[in-house]
Amino acid sequence: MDTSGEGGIMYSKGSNLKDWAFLVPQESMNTWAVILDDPNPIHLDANAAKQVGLGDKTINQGPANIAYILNMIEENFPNSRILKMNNKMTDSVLEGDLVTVSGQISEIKAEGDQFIASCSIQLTVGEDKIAVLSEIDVLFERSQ
Amino acid sequence: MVKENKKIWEELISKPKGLPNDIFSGLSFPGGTFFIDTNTNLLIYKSTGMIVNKKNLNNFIHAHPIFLFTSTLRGSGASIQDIFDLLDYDVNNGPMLGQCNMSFKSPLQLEREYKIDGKIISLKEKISKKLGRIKILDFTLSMFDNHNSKVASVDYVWILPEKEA
Repeated sequence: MDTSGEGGIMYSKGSNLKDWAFLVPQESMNTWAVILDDPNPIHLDANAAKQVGLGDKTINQGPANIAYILNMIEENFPNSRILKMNNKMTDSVLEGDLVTVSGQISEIKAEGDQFIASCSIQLTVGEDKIAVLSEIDVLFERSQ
Repeated sequence: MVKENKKIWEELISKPKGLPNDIFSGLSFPGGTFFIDTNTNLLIYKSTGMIVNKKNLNNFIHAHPIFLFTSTLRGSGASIQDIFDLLDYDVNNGPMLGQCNMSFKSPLQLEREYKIDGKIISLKEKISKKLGRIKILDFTLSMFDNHNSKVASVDYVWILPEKEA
């Protein structure tokens, strides 16, 4: 099924979504530690990450990684609504990493006057390290 | 009920050493509330590289969906540190989020208070090829509006590496 959403963006089963990228700075991790009230030192102190054998850099908070994926969905489906999102964290994102969120539409279903797009998304670090795999259902309006 | 659950948590946290994993299965969180404010919403967008502009009207009307995380983890009546204290777990061992499944019945609204409730599903031990001896904590938290209708819920799986003796 093909359909168009807000701004006339065309959606069809199997089509690739527009990539979304972000360079992860330490300042963001400091902000997220406060937002989450999370004292885990592996997000704030590289030595703490090293001590537990997780590498030489601080590790980004999991919820922040999921927020990047949600941002990518918002960019691809403006003013849509997330219905469901299943996430599997498969690797770490470190301070200074360039993350890219990419994916495709695996299914589109009509739901009354609206549509639900099921998307398979991955958050990748660098060339090929997959850090998060997500399956997302997005509800959006057909463009007028 | 909130007071009762809080009391159970306080009792368990006061003597957490040597408690069997099974004792945590089905344990309700103390419960509480979380207020979603506009400033934190903007902070979330900014810290994740999003520029709020007129093209994304949702960003002005609705809260970022990641608030399901922050609201449930901060409004459950138990902080992340409380959860680790309950399990007698040392945060310096590097706990990690392994999996989370989120579902929304409606968008989260800005400048609104939500009731948070949930329970621990299980705490299990396992040997990981990468991390060695670990515990896997599975728990669920939900958000309710002021009519007590469920707005959203999230199932968390946390990986808790154990320090080798």
